[in-house]
Amino acid sequence: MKWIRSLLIILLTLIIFVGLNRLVSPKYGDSLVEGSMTAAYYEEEKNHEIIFLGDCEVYANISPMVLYEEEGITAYVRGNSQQLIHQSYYLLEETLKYEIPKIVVFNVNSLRYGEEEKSEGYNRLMIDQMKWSKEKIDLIKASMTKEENFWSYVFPILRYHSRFSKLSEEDFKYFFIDNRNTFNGFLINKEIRPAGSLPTKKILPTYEFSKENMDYLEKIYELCREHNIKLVLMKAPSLYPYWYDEYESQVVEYAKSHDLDYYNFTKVTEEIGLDYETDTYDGGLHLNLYGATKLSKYFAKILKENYALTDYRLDKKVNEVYNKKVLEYKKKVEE
Amino acid sequence: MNLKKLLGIGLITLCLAGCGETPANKTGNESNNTSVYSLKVSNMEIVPGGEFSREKFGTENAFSELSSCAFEGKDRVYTYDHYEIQTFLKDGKEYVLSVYFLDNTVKTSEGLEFGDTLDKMKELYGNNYKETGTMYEYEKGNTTLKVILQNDVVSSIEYVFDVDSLK
Amino acid sequence: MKKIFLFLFSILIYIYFGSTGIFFLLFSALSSFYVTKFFYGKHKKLWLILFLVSNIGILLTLKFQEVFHFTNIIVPLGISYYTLQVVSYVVDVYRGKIEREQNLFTYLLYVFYFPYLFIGPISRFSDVKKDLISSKIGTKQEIYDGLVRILWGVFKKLVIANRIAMVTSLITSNTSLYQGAYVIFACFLYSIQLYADFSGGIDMVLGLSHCFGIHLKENFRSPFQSESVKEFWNRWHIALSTWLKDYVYIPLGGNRCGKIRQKINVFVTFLVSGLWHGTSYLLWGVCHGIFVAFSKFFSTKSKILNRLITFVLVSFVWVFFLYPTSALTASKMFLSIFTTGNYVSLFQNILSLTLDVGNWIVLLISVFLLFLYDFRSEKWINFWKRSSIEWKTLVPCVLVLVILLFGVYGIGFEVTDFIYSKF
Repeated sequence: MKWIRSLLIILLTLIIFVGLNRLVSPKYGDSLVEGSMTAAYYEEEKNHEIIFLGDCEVYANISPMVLYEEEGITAYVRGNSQQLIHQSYYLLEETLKYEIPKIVVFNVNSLRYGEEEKSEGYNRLMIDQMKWSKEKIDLIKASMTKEENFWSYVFPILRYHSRFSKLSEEDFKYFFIDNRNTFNGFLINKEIRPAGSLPTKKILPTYEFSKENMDYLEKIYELCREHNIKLVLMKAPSLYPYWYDEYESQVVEYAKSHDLDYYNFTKVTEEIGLDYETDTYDGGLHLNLYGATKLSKYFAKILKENYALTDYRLDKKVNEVYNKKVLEYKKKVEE
Repeated sequence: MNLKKLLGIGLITLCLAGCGETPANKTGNESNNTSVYSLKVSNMEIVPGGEFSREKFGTENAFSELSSCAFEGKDRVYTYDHYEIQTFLKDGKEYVLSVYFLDNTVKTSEGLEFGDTLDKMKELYGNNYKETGTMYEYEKGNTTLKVILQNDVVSSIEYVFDVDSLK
Repeated sequence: MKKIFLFLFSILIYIYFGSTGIFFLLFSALSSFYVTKFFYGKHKKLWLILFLVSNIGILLTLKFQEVFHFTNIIVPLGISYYTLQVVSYVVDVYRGKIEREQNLFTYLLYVFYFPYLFIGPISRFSDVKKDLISSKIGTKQEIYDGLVRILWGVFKKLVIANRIAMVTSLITSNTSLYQGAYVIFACFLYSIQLYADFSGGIDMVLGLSHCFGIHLKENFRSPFQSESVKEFWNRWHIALSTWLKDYVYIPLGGNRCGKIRQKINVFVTFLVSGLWHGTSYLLWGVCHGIFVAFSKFFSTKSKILNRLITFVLVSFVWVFFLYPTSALTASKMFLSIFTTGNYVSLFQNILSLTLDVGNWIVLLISVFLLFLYDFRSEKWINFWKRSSIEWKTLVPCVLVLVILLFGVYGIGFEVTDFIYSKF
C-alpha cells in the first residue's frame, strides 16, 4: 500500500510539472496580439475552400469575413508574424491533415527572407501553440536558431522557467485556453497612420531568392499538386519593404513555368481603391481594417470569377455558422 | 628533511616570481573611436553605435518610422542630403544603427566613394573581408563596413553597428 | 565489470572534455606508477626528486604560462587535482606508509576515475582502492542516497550558486561603477556562491560515487560553523587542507620546531595553497596565513561572534577570487570601501543588480534551507533515515520541480524584452 502512495506522489509531481510548463509559457493574449493565432485554427470547422499562407502581409491584409460576405467564400488565413516559407510549408502540411481546400494562396513576400530573419521570438509565437505532430517536429527543426534547443519546445519550462518571477494576470487568465482575437486568421487593426516618407531604396548584395526558399516553394507546389489543390501566388500591396523588380521577375517566371496564377496587388492599388492616407496603420507597410476590406472585396471578385468556388451562403448549415461569425466581426469592427 | 627545505625554498622563490601581475584585461573600450569604423562628414564624426540627436546631426530632409511584424519595435530612418541614418533605441536614448551613402559626394573616412574600383577598395581596406556575391564586409570592433559592387564599381556603402554586441 | 566500465568511461569523458590534456594525465599516471619501482633500490631519493620536479614542474609551468609567456599550451583539465593525487601516492609509498601497487590497471583507475578528476576531492590511494576494485556497486539504499545527494548538489549549483553569480559577475564587470559597498556585498555573496558551487559539485561527485559503491571522503563539513579561520580549513576543501598538512606543513616541521618556525610553516603552507589556486591568489594565501598563524588575535569569548568574525574574514579575502586577473585590482577594489562608500546607492539599486524581488526571495529561501541543512542535528539525520517511503519519494520529487522551475540554466526568456526591446 505504501508503494501506491509513492506512486501517487510521483503522479502528482508529473501533473504539477505539466502545469508548470503551461504556467510559465507566455500566453501573449492581450500583451502581444500576434501571439494567439496558431491555436485558433484547430477549433474551426474544417470546410475552408481557400487557405491563405504567409506572414503579416496576409493576416493583416486579407479578411475572410469580407470574402464570405461578398461571395460566400470560406477561407482561413494560416499566417504568423514573419512566417518564413519553410514554416508556411509545414503549416500547410499540417493543415492538409485536417482538410483539403480547393485553393491555396501563398503570399510571395517571404521568398526574400533568409537565415537573418530566423528569430527565436517569432518562432515561439508561431510554434508554441501548434499541436504536436510530425509536421511540428519538422517545423521546429527547420526553424531553430543556433541557440535554441529542441527539448525546450517539448518542455517549455526549460526555456521559460525564469518567467516565474514575472507571471502576470494573463498567465492565469489564459492558462487553459489561449486568447482568441482573430477572425478566420485575420487580425483587425483600426489604427490609421498615413504613409509618409519612406527610406531610400537600398542596393542589395543579391536579388536572387535563395535555393532553399525556392526549394520550399517547389515543395508547396508539389504538395498542392498531390492533393489536386490549385496554388495561387499573390503579393500584398505594401509600400515597404520594397518589392524589387528583380524579385518580381523571378516570381513571374516561376508562375509562368508552373502555370500558376499570380496577382501582384502592388500594381493595382488604384483599381483596388486604396488610399494610403487612410488605409494603413503603419505608414504603408500593412493595410489596416479599411484597406484590408477594400483589398478583400477586390480579391473576392477575382476569386469568384476565376475559380469554381462554392457560394456557402446557399448552404443552410454553413451559412448559419458564418452569419454568427460575421455578426461578431461587425461588432468588433464597430467597437 | 633537507630535501623538503630545498623544495620549500624553491617553491617560495617561484611564488615570489609569480607575484608579478598578470597583464590586466582592459575592459572593452567602446568609446575609443580608433577601434571602430566611423564616418567623417564636414566637421562631424558619425560613429555607428554612437548617440544620435537632431541637435547634433541637424534636421533631416525626410523621416520615417517603420514597425516590424510584431514586437521588435520601430526603426527610425532619417534621410539627409547625402546619407541616410537609421537609429535604434536603448534605455530611452537613440543611437546610430547604420549610415547609408546616397551619392558620391560623401567619402568614407578612409577615402572610398561611389565609382571606385575593387582594387581601390582593397588598397584602402585590405584583404581581410568577408565576400558574399558582390558584397564585401569589413569588420572593426562592433561596426561593419558593407560595400557592394555593381558592374565592377562601388555602388553602395553602408556602416552598420552590431546591436547584438550590446547584449 | 564495474572497473572496466568506470575506466573506459573515464577515458572517454576526459578525451571529450579535455582532449590533448590526456597525454599529460597519462604521463603523470605512468610516471608515478613506475617511479615507485625504484624506491626499493639505491637512489630512491633521487628518483623521488626527479618525479616531484617533473610533475610539479609541469603543473607550475602550465599554471605560470600567463606570467612568463613562454608557452601557450592548453592547461589539462584537472591537472591541479590529479597532480596532487599522484604526489600523495608516490610520497606515501616512499615513506613506507603504503605498499606499492602492483596492478597498473588498478592504479590507472585511481588516477583516471572521472567523478573526482575535475573538481576533487583529492583522494588517497589507500582510502579508495578497495571500493574502486570491488565489483559491487551500491546497495539500493546507497543508490537512492547517492541520487538524492546528486539532486541536492544540482539544487545548490543551479538555484543558489548560478543565481548569485548573476549579481557578482555584474558587480565585478564594471570596476568603476561598482565600488565600495558593492564590493563588500559581492564578497559576502561570493562566500555563499562559492560554497554552493563547490560543495554542490562535490555532492554530485560523492553522490555518483555512492551509486557505484565508492565511498569518498567528505570535502565540506558545515564550514560556516567555524569559530576560527584555522577551524575553517578543517571544514572547507578538507581534501586540500589535509594534503597540504601531510605533504607541506608536516615535512616543513609542522609545530615541532618552535613557535616562530611554526608560524613560518603555516605561512609557507598557505602560500602553496594560494599558488595551487593560481598566481594571482598568493596574496589570498598570505591573508589566510596571517589569519591562521595569528588566530588568537581574531578570537573572542563569544561563540557567535567568533563565527561571525570568521565568516567576515573569509568573505573579505574572496575579493581576490572576484577580481582574479590582478591581485592589485582586487586590493584596490576592496580598499575602495574607504574612498567610495556607496552604501545608499547599493541599497537603492539592489533590485537592479539582475535579480528582481521574486528572485531575491527564492535566493533567500534557498540559502536559508542550505544553512538549515548544514546546521542539522543528529536528530534530523536519524529522522530522515527512518522516515517513510512517502517522504523519501516526496523530497526528490520536490527537489526536481524546484530545480526545473527556479534553477538558473539555459537562455533566459523575457516576454517584455520582445515587446519593449526598442523602447
